[in-house]
Amino acid sequence: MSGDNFYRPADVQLCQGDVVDEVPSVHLRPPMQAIKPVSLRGNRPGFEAHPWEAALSGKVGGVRFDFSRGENVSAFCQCSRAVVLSFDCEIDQDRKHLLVALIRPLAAVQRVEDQNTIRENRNFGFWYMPADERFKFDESYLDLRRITCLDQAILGSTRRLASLSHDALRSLQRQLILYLTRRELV
Amino acid sequence: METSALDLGAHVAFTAVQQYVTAGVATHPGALLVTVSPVFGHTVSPSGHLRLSAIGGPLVAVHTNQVLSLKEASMDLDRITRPTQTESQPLSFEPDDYPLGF
Repeated sequence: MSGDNFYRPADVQLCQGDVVDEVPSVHLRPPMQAIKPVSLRGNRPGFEAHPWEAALSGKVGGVRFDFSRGENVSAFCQCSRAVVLSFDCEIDQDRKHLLVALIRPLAAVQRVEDQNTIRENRNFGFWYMPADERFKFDESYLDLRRITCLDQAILGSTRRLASLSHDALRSLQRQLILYLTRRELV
Repeated sequence: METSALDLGAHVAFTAVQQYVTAGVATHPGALLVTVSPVFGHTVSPSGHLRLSAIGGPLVAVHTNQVLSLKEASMDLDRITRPTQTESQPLSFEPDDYPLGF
């Protein structure tokens, strides 16, 4: 499938397969820290970080944590293009939980063998996205290992660049199933 | 024939398809007749979706809205009852180690 029939202009409403710019992608990495809002000198808002293991015990340094109700933690975050994975109905009905996957530039991949592995979708953790001059897209690939759950309000100021065509979306669904199950859709 | 539950189910389904195909695909193309067995339950939707079920829940569904030869039907059944895992080709680098840089 070439770039010409891989993308289409985005619809008015957010859809599954939309390519969106400036989307945060988080990845929890060690060492994790639990954080609590505090007031700093001059009444400036700030955060106090606590070691994850200590915070899990429920109380550290006089500060209480209740992870059954939910607490804030520090997370590694990158902002990049992303593809919306959530199904259209889910997008309409649940505005607090939107699944997006991180897009990476293929040009950053140095070895030709690795580039070809990605282009041919032979590594199931990634999905190839061809270049398209209409949308000013260079060759890229979706990182299916890096799926983030967002509140749609976070996308309020981001730009929707294009959407995947029907065939491209089917290809992505197939790759996602391969990644999760190592089995073909029947 | 092996005696595991999955293989027994495949055998039962295959036998049913064989009976159906010999009974006449031309009069009712695309519909598969599968007998209920201790291993598989089944449903066939009007649009031709065949769903085989293991005891305790659905196992897999396959679209059969086309004329299938006995060979095609048996291959499909073999594929869905004993799906083969596919190998993912590893990369020689970790993408997380590189900037995104759009």
